Amino acid sequence: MTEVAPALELTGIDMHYGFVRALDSIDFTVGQGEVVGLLGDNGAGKSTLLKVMSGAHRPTGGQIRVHGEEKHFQSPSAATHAGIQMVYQDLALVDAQDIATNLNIGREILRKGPLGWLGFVDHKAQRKRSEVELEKLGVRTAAMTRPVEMLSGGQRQVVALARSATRITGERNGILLLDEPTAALGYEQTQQVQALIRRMADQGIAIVLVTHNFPLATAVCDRISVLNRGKKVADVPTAATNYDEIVGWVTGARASMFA
Amino acid sequence: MSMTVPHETNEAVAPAQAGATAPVPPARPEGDPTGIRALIFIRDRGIFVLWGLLILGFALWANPFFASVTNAVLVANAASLTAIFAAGVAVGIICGALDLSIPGVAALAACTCGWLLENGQPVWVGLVAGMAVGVVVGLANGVISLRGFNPIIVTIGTLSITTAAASILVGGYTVPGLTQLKFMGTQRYLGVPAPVYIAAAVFIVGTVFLTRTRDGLRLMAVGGNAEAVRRSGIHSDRYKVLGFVISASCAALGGLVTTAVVTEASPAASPGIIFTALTAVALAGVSLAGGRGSLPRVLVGALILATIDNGLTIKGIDPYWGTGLTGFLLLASLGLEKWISTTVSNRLVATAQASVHTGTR
Amino acid sequence: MSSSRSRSTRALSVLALGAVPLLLAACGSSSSSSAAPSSSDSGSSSAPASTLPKTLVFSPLSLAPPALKGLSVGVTGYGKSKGWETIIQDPNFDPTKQTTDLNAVLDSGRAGAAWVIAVAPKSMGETLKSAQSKGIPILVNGKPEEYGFTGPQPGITFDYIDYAAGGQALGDQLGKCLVAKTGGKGQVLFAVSSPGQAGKDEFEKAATDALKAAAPDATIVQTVVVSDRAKGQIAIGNALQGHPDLNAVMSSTDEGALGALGAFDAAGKDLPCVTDFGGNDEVLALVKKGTIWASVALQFGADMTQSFDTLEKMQADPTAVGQVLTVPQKIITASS
Repeated sequence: MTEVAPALELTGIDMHYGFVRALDSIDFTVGQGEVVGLLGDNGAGKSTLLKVMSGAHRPTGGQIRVHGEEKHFQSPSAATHAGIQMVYQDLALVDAQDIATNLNIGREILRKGPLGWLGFVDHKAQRKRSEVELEKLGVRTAAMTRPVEMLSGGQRQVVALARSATRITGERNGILLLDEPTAALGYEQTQQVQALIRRMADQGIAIVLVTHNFPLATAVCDRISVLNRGKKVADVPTAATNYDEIVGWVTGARASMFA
Repeated sequence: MSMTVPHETNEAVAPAQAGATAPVPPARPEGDPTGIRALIFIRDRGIFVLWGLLILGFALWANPFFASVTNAVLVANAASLTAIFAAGVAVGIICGALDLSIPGVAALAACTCGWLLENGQPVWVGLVAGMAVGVVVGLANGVISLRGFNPIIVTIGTLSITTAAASILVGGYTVPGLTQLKFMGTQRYLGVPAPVYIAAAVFIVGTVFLTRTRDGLRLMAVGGNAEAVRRSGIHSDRYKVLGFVISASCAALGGLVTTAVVTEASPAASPGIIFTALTAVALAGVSLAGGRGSLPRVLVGALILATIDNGLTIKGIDPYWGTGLTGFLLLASLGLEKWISTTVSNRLVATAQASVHTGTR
Repeated sequence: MSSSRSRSTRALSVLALGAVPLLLAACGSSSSSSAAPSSSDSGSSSAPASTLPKTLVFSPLSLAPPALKGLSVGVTGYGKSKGWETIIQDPNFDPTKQTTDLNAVLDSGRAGAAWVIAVAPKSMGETLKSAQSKGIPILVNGKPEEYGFTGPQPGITFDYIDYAAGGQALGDQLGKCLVAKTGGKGQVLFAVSSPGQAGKDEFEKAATDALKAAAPDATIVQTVVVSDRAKGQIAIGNALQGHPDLNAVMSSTDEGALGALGAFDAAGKDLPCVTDFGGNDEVLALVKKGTIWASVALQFGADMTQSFDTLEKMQADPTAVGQVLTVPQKIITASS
């Protein structure tokens, strides 16, 4: 592999709230096309770390590099500009609107000519574009005109993921942060999401996946990082570890790799 | 929806064909049971059917006076006033805000126009000023609500302020004799009075705006989930303010048209306006939670109210029966909508579960 | 327009524009309230100051209706011309507010007389008794029975609108119009006020009876409730659909008459006979033009001076039994 800067690199990230050290000197990297799992018990700091990556929290110390460039995110939209998209647990879909509208909101295609100046949207072109994008992701959906509220939980998750995936801008593929994407899903739906995540990684998107779901993590992640009480206690390729080890790190029964 | 996961093949479809949905016409969701389609039809188009039934009923009962072109024009005219206000209320609700300042804005717009006309200004100045009142009050409502205050309370506040302002402007009196406004009041064009054209224009423009333009779509999305829209990089606050501006502008227009019809500007804000407008909006099934709604159905809601009123008056029946009937229809339509939604979701759940066992989709 | 307004407001639609010339014409009769120590007859509380202040507190239903607003302005002006100060209160159609505000002013001794257009007459009982006991003369609009009294009372003057007489005049005039224009035949629409208005029943009965007497061949084919002009115009338009041969309208309110004219005009139909009860400027102008046959107008200018003068006299002798006045009515036709 050529020497390419990782898509997202965090070095020595600290997050202090008074005396509480929510994050203590965390190093974290994820490369293009890589899926890294971020595991840990409640309160371990995974959500906080994810929020630091998404620009929602500013760390008290440490550095963030995106594609090798140092960045300071003042707000989530700054992170979005840098190519980082976060998919929140609540999905943030507009229920009453259909799939095409949800996928295209914020980057609507206008009609050509005077109608376009008035702001008329080219629904057909949008639907087409969305279909193409979803096809690239290997997703076969219900019709573009199906309202999102009429989709099942798994289908909604897929739409939310696809929406973020399509928004990642720039010639170099961006970074996707997923916060518990399968928390509310059943088995089959989790499979669907899993497949989509792998496909997105295949297309070069860097993915950070916070989850409690160990089977999902082991199935879909290339690497797994474990946090415990704000410290990183493990960072291993998935193939090099197993369920027991991971559980041990998460609960603290197993000593940190970096101790 | 299915992912063609490499190890499972539900159907012998190669991955390359996985994305093809082209054969399915976009309007028909694939594989929805006809039961669901019928229920959704009733939910979305039922109000038209209801109106048709009412017309039929009155035509027979109030024969021969009801079923005539002149009467149809009369009903359309009566509905127009309510419809204009209802459009404003509907847009406000769709955008997530119940705008209670509408009667006050109508009164202030009417009095502004009346006062200007009384003082010798040309008609277009009066009209522009009246509409400007709507825009300004809408902006005020929007900006103040953005600061975190409950929009209902804010609009109640602006209601008081606009009513007082209207009264102060015209010194407490009405401004009669505004015959120069007849061209948009009782004047008929091709046999149809002006307010009908105005209301039709409002609804056509409004519907096209909400369903086909970028800003209209974003407006509806903000009403549905403002946070989601914001995360897509859009300033959803601007659209919230836009919702208030549209609502107040419709109120101003309604006030001006009412003034034109009676050739008199009155500072008395009629709270009944909100009641009838809300009833029309509720009949049309616009959810108070925001984010969804169909303007054409609101128009039909206004038409239903006017039809009932007209039919009962022709028969010499006290219109309070009409109010009662409307209330009953409203409750019935709420119940029907609830029942349909539950049934549809139940059936959808059933079909989703079916895929596990039957392997379809 | 609020349909909860009492009849008196609706009827009070003429403003004392007439009050202005009256003010000037009013030779302020010397308002000397002799320092008569008043003794309370209900046997309660202390004897008030020997001289009551020449301050009138005026409490109408609300200052929102233009007519009442104008009345308050007229009262202040007339009072000034007689050397009186006037305090204007605004109950805003809230009976509790009205009684609370009134009691405050009466208790403090600031007011020497009170003129009240009560939002809810039945709730004024305590206030009236309190004024009586303080020897403060009070004039209220309505009949004694509406306030829970029987007959005239000491220290209180009642001033009511004689709705029966008003209705009688309304119906009679319409009958005369029909006789003059269509030989007494006609289909009549009766535009009435919202339910719950004061005097509604007696007014409407008197009007119907008088019409029958004046034009036996005319029939009231429909009655329509009119609360505001726009709705009235629409409602009457609908009624016209059901009765295409309507040719006469009698209305309990100005809005009804104006709405009727608008509706007939929009339908392109002739309306030869209209009479109304109210008499605002627009209506009076139409009467002059001949579009409206007659308007039964309450003379509020005259009523105001009548009321004020009576209060002044009463202040001089608060124990004297008050009067029961009626608001003067005038039938205005094209020739008057």
